Amino acid sequence: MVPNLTLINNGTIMKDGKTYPVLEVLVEPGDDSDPDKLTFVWNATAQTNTTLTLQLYFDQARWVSSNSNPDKFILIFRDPLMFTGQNGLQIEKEHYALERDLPPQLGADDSEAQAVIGDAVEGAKNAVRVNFVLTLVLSAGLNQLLQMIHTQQLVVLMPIFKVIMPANASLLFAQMMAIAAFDFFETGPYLDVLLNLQPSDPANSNFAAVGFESRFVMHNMGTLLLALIFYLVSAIFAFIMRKMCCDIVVHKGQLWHEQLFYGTLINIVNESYSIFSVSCLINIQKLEWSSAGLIVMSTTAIILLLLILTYPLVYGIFMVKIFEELRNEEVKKKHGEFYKELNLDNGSWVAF
Amino acid sequence: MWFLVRRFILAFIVVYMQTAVIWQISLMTMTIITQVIILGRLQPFVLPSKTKYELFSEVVVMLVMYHLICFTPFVPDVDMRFRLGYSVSAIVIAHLAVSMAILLRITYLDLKFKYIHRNATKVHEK
Repeated sequence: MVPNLTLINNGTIMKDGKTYPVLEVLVEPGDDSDPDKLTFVWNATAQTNTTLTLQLYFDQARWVSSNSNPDKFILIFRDPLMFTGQNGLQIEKEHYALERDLPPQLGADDSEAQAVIGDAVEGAKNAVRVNFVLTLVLSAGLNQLLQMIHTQQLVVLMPIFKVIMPANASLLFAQMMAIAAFDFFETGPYLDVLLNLQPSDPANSNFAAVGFESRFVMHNMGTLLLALIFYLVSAIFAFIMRKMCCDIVVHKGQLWHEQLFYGTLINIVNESYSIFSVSCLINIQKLEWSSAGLIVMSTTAIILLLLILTYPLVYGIFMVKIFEELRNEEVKKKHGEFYKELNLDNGSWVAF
Repeated sequence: MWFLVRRFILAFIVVYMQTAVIWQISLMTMTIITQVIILGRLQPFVLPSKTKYELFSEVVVMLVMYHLICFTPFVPDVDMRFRLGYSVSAIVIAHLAVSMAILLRITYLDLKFKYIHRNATKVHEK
């Protein structure tokens, strides 16, 4: 039976002759933080069978984690047995005390400006969705959409640098990530269930702030993972179709193959290259092999790294090799998507 | 190919240089300068407007980069950092707005061209 919120907020327990709150919430200042600026009150606001939501109200919220070393949030379950779920699920012993980096917080004066920024980004997201649907339904050019996104991808990755990003900018970049990474669907929880994985902590709070909330490659790829799986399955189908004996099927397979490897779809893979690279490198930093789920993640990260490293080389060599024939109509028809906006009169360096 | 290599460099420096922000900023600045040199020297695109848009994007990336320098202990005042936070937000949103306007205009022209082309084909068939 889960305890009620009043009991969590106000309940106490006697231990060794001393009285403690049943749930203790502490903030440990980082190395350069001023403890006087970190005064706060907290309140448990919601709970389910498996989750508990706490809200912390800081007197000077802008000062939270405002230095190189973030302040830490510590949660101690003084009476852990009180937090037993309806199905008998209990908190594991190593989680009786939890510690996390506190992300920078917005001040009381920031909410209005933040709402305006949030509305602007939400408008942009909707415009991207509308444009995406238009390009699919009416076969308009997808390239313009991708061109817009490729700069955004550089911009949204920059806050991961070891800087102290203020909360107002940090929230903007997190929202922009959904546009830049085509991340409109959360895949992490499904993967946890499917591969029987324990949710992983992010590499650090800067990664978490822009949406890389896990160490696992598949989790960080988000919706792109589905796109990549679709791409690979399609490539296999196209390959099988091309090997069949029926001429119509072979022809369809050939068209499908060309669309996959030389059409607009390859541009989506190119545009997502930075997200693939970051997701993969985060996982490569800490490869784990102790369970089936972790083996899948580590193997995927290694394979993806190999693909990431070889792809630009293959791409470059291929372009230089066919450079002399790029004006040929037959080649243009087949590989045109690779170079349709490039000025070929400026020599083969353009291929790079 | 540089397009991809640049992205891999960015991914590498954000993941593996977390203890050396000065190197992160220096390398990122170098990639931006290299990109500007490529755009200016090689003129790789057929349309000058495309080159201009790419240069505009690089300016935006460089401005964001300069803001990041201010988000280090170089600027210790928290309120100043918040003001700079709004400044970088304004730059990013302005870039997004310009890109979106171009995107919608191109999509509109694309659809208009297809509509006219379809009507012309129908008339021709009749």
